[in-house]
Amino acid sequence: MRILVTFFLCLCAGQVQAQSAGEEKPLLDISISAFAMNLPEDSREQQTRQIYPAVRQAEARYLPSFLKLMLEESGQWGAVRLLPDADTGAEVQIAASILDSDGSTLSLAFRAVDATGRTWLDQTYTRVAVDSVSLNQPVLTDPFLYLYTDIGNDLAAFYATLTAAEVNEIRAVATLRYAATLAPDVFEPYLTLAETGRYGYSRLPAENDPFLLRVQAIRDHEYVFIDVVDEQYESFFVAIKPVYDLWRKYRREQMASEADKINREAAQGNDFRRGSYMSLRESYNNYRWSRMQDQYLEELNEGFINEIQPTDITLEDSLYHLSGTLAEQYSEWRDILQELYELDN
Amino acid sequence: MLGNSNPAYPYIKPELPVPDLITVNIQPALTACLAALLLLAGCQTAEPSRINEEVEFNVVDMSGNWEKDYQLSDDFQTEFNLYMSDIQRTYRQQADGLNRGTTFGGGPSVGGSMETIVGLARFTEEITRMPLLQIEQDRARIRIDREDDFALFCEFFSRQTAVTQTPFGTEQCGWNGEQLLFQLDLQDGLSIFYQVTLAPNGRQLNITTTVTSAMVSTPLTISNYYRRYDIPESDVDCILTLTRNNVCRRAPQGTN
Repeated sequence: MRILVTFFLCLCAGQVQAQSAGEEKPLLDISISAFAMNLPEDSREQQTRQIYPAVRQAEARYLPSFLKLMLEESGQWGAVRLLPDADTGAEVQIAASILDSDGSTLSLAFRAVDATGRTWLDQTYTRVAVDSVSLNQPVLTDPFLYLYTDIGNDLAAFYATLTAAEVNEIRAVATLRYAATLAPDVFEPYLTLAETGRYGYSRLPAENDPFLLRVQAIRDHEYVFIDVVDEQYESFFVAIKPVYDLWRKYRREQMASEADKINREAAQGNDFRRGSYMSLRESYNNYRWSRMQDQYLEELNEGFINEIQPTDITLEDSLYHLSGTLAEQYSEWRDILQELYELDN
Repeated sequence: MLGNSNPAYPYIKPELPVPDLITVNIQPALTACLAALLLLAGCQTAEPSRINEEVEFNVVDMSGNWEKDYQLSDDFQTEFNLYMSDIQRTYRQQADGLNRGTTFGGGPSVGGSMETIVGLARFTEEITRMPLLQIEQDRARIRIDREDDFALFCEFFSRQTAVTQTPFGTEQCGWNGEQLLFQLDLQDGLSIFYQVTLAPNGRQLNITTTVTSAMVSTPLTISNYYRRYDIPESDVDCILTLTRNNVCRRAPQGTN
């Protein structure tokens, strides 16, 4: 059997290695960025559509946290990381925008792209809440569990279509693209960009390329920070899960009650003589009921926000610290690498 | 002390005609005019919006706790008598016009059935009780909590009026000068219009409520006055949570 030999960059060792395409496919790392909140700019529209910015912000962090746990649980992937923004060195980058999340329905505009620019998934996932769905772990219980399993299955199905060579290419390009952001003069020549927008590489750096080793050391350093943030996301998730579950439960009950009331009123109508006291009272009580529902919803949101606030602030601090630290360190690293490159030449 | 003196700010009461009947109780008054009114039962269309987007406004801080001033506020029985007089007078004018072969400009016919007039009065009396108000306000919104009723809430980010729609009605709010207005258009041709005005000295609040029914030609207006009252500051801070309801803690000394 003819063995096609291809090269890939082993991220864990930071070295160029040869691997036969006939070998088992390596696992790919997944980077998930915090979901886009998709908030209407007009606050009136937010009100009409019953979108609450503080709740949505929490969801933008909670939902990807749950997806991360699900993907980890599947055992089909390498490291799964959750970051506030896109990861420049991602092998597979997942991004999603929250289209609808009212406790009863969850709808995500979902996109997964690998480092070569190949789009794995670009579609909307929508599911209606189902009670008591669990993956035998309390933390993996969620009314929208099937939405996540849909995503996980689709990702796995796409991965299954890739050859080992293609997977290795993804990993190599991911490393080179990351390296090119730090030392463009050194690493951009390795990369190719087709008219289709797909990245590839024309050649690979030597196994002991000092710049590659430096870049890898920086990447490892970055992982230390990312892991801290990752832990913060996880703590946030664990802390707000019971509160968010309760919020969604109450929200579902409230929506069901509202739908029931509207249907009942539509079916029964107003039996009282038009303009009579009872008829006026009925009209007013119906309206009063709907406004009380709105106010109940406000209290629900207020209770949710009050309860998650301390956890939210801790995560916010951590993210701020990470972005500040990384921005500062990227700048320093870029300067150092540039100086080294100039010295070498 | 406010006593029986007139409010210290220019509040214009809705114009009511000089009553023909000085003192009447609801039932006799209704009986007297019932036969005529039944023949002229009105059927108004939905109340047009009274809240104008184009009017200049000046947001006034109405926040605080308010209790009803019963001495200044309308006495419902008196107002009802005046209301009935108004209906009777208009009816007579209309009847005279009809006898002379003239009509009243195509407006809705006067009155309504006894059931609808009494219904409107009873309903108005109920919704205008509002003994206590708690008003929270910031630069963009105001919330008027009323005891045993839903809160009137208005977000006024810009000059636009705010509209809240529910399956059971529409609520529009906005400022007109220094007056805060709410208009509720509900099912069955019921419309409720609130005008909220703060006295220049900030100590008095007026809420004038006008209730219109599609089945009664003349709206009923009730004016209530409120005076501020202070709630002693608590040394306990409470916040609402989902899993633990209200969570309270003693406020650090010196913060209150």
